[in-house]
Amino acid sequence: MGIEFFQGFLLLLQPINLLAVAAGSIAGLIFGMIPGLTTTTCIIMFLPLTFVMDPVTSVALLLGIYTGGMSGGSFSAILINIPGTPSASATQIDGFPMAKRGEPARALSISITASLVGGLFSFVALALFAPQLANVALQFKTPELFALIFFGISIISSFAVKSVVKGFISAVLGLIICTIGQDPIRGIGRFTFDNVNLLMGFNIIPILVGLFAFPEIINIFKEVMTAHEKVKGALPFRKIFPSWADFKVAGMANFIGSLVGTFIGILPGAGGPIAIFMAYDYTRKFSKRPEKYGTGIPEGIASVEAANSAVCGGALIPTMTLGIPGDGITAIIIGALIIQGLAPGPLLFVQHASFAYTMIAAYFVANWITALIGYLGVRWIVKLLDLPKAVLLPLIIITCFIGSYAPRNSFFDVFTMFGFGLLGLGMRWLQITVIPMVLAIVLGDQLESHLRLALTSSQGDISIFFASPISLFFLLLSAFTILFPFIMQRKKKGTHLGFDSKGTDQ
Amino acid sequence: MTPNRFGAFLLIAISLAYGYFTLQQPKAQALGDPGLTLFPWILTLFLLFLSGLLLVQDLRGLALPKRFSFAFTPAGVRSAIGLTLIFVYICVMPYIGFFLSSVLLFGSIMWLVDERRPLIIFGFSCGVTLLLFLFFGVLFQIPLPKGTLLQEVFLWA
Repeated sequence: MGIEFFQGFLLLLQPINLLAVAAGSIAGLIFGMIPGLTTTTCIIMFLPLTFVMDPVTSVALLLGIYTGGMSGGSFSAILINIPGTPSASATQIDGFPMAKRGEPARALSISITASLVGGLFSFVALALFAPQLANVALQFKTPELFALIFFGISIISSFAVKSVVKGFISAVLGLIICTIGQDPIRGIGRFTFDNVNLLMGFNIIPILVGLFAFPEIINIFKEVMTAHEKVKGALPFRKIFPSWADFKVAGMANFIGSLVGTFIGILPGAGGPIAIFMAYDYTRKFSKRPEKYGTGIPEGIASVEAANSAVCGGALIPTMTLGIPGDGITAIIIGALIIQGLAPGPLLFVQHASFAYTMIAAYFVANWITALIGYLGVRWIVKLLDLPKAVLLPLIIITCFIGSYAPRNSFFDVFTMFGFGLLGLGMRWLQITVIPMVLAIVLGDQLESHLRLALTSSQGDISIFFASPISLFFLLLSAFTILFPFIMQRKKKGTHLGFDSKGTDQ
Repeated sequence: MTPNRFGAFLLIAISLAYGYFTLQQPKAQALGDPGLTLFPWILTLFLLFLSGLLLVQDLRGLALPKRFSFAFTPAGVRSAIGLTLIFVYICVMPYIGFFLSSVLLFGSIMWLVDERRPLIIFGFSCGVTLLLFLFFGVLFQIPLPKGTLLQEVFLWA
């Protein structure tokens, strides 16, 4: 680490990069706050800009949005009792009662502070563990890498969805999409049907835009007429800053939330919605006054907000070191980095070390800037809750178009976006989540490459995957993650097969 | 037919079609490489197996959703019209260009979500599209489509 770490910070401290973090944070706070819009939508809207930006500035912008979005979700949860993002859906349990009691500024202040604490906690985990994990991953050979990627896809297909079967269907469809175009080893075209546009395969950005943005556009169409009741109450400037008394009361909650959020964030697919409820539950169990939870106490807000912010840093650990995205947003960030020629994974810390450390630094700075903007600007930002969706909706659609068109200036990509949008809607209708598909599309080429290279080196002997202890470990872990939901279901003797958990769309 | 049964049959059809197209691919086995069809074959078998599993789950009443829920609600109709407008938007853009098509889409969507004040619609459609054009097209130099029809008109003029 050492010198590269400080070089990363220095690189980030250039004014343009700080400006990008600030712009991202503001956009993330606004999109995270407005119900119906999500951080994912915001990132997709800003993707076209990243194609013309320097990689460091791009990642600064995207991480600004990511951290801002996580904080912003709590504003609407506190003020209108509707979470801006699924990751803030437990903030309203204590946030709204506190705001209703006439203390909206205090609730917002606790929430912003907890987000900062959670973000900084996960930054420490990211800065400490990511380089070490990347070093370990560098020792992996093709069988281990195949097993690792297989494990990543298995865990997201098992735990991020309501039905394991549907999770794997989503992943296999993603892998099938990946096989279109040149094969990753010898460059021979497959499934191209003599279409020159398919020779290089589908561009990942239009796929991400279609799969994530279309279902959200349809949601906004449905929710566009919904009116929300807003808590009336002043947000005096000095009350927005945290008081020492609140910070002390919420100290343990901040710590538990940060710990749970970071750990859950590391697990691919688990994501914010699971982390917040776990953090809330643990904080209540460890509390001296569990009966007060739900009545508007600082600990209730702090645990949730610390957890959902900590998820970001946690999710960045497997994203940066193994190239396995922790959630949908990190999958999009990987897509944006691939376009820039920077594929996350263990080699990132070797081939682009300064960039890797700049990314870590960007996450640190993004947390501070988001908190600063939150403290100073929340009084004005919350006014945007009244922004008409009649204006936002076409704005999102047009930026989706630009995001799909810009990477290759191709209308084929725009139609790809539309096609995948319809596929995303169809999958939602069948209750099949798109997250495993996205992960499979991001990792598919690598999975096939490592499989074939390993088999080539062993002359077709599949025992090569079981010969190495690391490879065997990941394969056994994969088998466990696949079978675990079925075993749990058997135990519960429930009504339907699968593992019930919340989705991970942010 | 339940949605899952429909989905399972569709997936079986997809896996069979994918298997058929895999057969058409060159084997290209060389130097110990198992070839470029190995991975697609694994995926074909996996998808067939998973589709079968989904079908079994549905037959045993274990998979959700259990029935189709088509209802002509105003929100549903609005969403369908919205999707059609987006499709028309990307179809006409190569001909009339980014600016004009975006102004038209902006106005149509605003109208669709019950904004009826013509001045507001006109102002926002032109204003926001212009801002987007200046922001992405001019400031960030993203080459937005100019439209072949309009180019011809200007050339002719």
